[in-house]
Amino acid sequence: MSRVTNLTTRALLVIFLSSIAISSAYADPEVDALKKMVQQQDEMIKQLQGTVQKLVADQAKLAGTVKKATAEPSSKAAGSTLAVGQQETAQPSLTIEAVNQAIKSYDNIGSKFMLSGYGDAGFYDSKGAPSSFQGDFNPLLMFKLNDSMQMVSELEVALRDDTADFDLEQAAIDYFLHNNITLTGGKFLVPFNTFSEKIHPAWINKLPSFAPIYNDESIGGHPGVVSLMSDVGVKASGGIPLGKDSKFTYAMYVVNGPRMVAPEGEMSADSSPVELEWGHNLTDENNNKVFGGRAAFSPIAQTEVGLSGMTGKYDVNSDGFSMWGADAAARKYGLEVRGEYLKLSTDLPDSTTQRRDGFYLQTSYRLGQSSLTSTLPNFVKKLEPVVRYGSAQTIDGTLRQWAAGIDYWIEETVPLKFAYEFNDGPNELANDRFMIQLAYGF
Amino acid sequence: MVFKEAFKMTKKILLLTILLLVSVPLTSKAEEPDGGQVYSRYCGSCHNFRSPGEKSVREWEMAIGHMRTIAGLTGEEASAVLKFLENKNPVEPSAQRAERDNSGGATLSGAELVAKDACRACHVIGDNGGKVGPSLNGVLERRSWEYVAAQIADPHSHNPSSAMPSHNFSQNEMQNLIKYLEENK
Repeated sequence: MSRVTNLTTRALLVIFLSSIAISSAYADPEVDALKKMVQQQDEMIKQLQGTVQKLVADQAKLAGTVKKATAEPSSKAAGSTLAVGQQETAQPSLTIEAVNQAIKSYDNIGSKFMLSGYGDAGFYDSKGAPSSFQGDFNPLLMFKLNDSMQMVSELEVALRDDTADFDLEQAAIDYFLHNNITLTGGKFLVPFNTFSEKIHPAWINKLPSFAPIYNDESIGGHPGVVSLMSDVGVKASGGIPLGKDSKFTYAMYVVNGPRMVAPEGEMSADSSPVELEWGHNLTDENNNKVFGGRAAFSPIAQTEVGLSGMTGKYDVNSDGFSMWGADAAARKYGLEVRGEYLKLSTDLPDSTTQRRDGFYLQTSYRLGQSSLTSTLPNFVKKLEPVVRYGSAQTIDGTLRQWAAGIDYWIEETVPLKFAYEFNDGPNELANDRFMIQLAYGF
Repeated sequence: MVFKEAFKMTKKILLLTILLLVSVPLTSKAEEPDGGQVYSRYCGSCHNFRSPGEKSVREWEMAIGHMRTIAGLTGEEASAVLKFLENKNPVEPSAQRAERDNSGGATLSGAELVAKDACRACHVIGDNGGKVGPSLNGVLERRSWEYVAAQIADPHSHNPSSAMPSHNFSQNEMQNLIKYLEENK
């Protein structure tokens, strides 16, 4: 029995020793290989950690730099690079806030300029005159210098007769002097009533033509009492809230003023009707400035009444003129009503005064903006019928006009307008007109 | 002669007006304007509402600066409407939402969302709010929650001419908001 036990013990010992010998003979290379792999992976991890740390530092630095650049205008940036770099080393951690800030700032870099504006393409068919297509393009370029100052310029390109007319409608610098006062210098839209300054852009004006009181230069358009007013000078404007819902707004300006439209060589008026031209009296031929202003009161939201006035000289003989106007507008649930009146008094060399005036009233209704029309099909909700009545003593006689149209809003800034004008007046003023216009604001 | 008198009068009026303009804001502290109401009141009085997402924040700064001159906005009103447009600009809410989603919860409550997105600028909720849009009191009795959620996420899906801007909420936030509206009947 003991012999069997001894043999078994010896056999087990031999097997154990053999196993160790075999395993040691074959395991060494594998272990080495595994050790090598682990070391390589350790190195890779270290490299990755280094890369991540570098990325974190770079990202934080970038976020801080753009944040600083956004907070401080570029004019201060010259000597600040070192300080910014020093600041960034103090905050090396990558945070979501920093990334968001960086994304936001990337969006801002290089966008101190902004291109905006509007344009239109139209077809005009007047009775008794050839029909014609027409196009206009008014790009606005804005530049923000800092939080207190920005510039705007507007180029007007209009296809008229056989040429493209170029004009600089605006080229002004705005300086935000105070919460309630903005100073403007340069060429700006004159704040007289609302149409000239605010409503005339094709994507805002709901009809393809102007009301009778304003010269309409589109194909087959009519003369009015005045043209759109854009002039060179200085302006102070702003608003003062009066309680929760009411507000007073104002604008006061001194500009070169209009000049007389007269045959070449004639620089002053006789006793015939005088037409004033705005925006081209760039060297002020009579050295006499025009003063004017507009004050408006808004008792409740989207309702406003305004009064405007201006006075000055218009020719080399220092003949004077004055103009005053009134405007009102209200908008609620898609229904809009607006109107304007203006009266122009012009002194003539024979000591008489020529007086011309006019008005318009316009109403439109955008379907789908009240509970009454909220269930209509989407196509119908994009429609806006519009009607305007106006009358004016133009340079060619008295014009009375009905205009009716319908707008289809492809987008909120892209109306396709169809309209018909019924005109009543002497000679060519009596020509009715059919119009289609596609306008766009961008 | 008449014009000389008119000029003198104009100068006096100008001087008095400037004094008035400077003194009124210095002596009275006006309520901080609500950006949503300013947007609705002034932008919408001349033209259709432009989509907040059509311009970057920087572009809106310039556009609103120009409109400050044209529409007679105060500096405070311009800042408020800019903040409102910035908040409605889909670029930034997406980033903020990603931040909230990545932070493992911490979604805003219904009340916080109503305050943050200035819903009361246009809608009555509870006892106060604007009247530009319909009252939201009891809206979930009149409409299904799916309809309300779709209206909040994409107002143009129901009305292409809607002036309401889109709101980018996460699922949890939308649920919180719907619950809040349900509670405020």
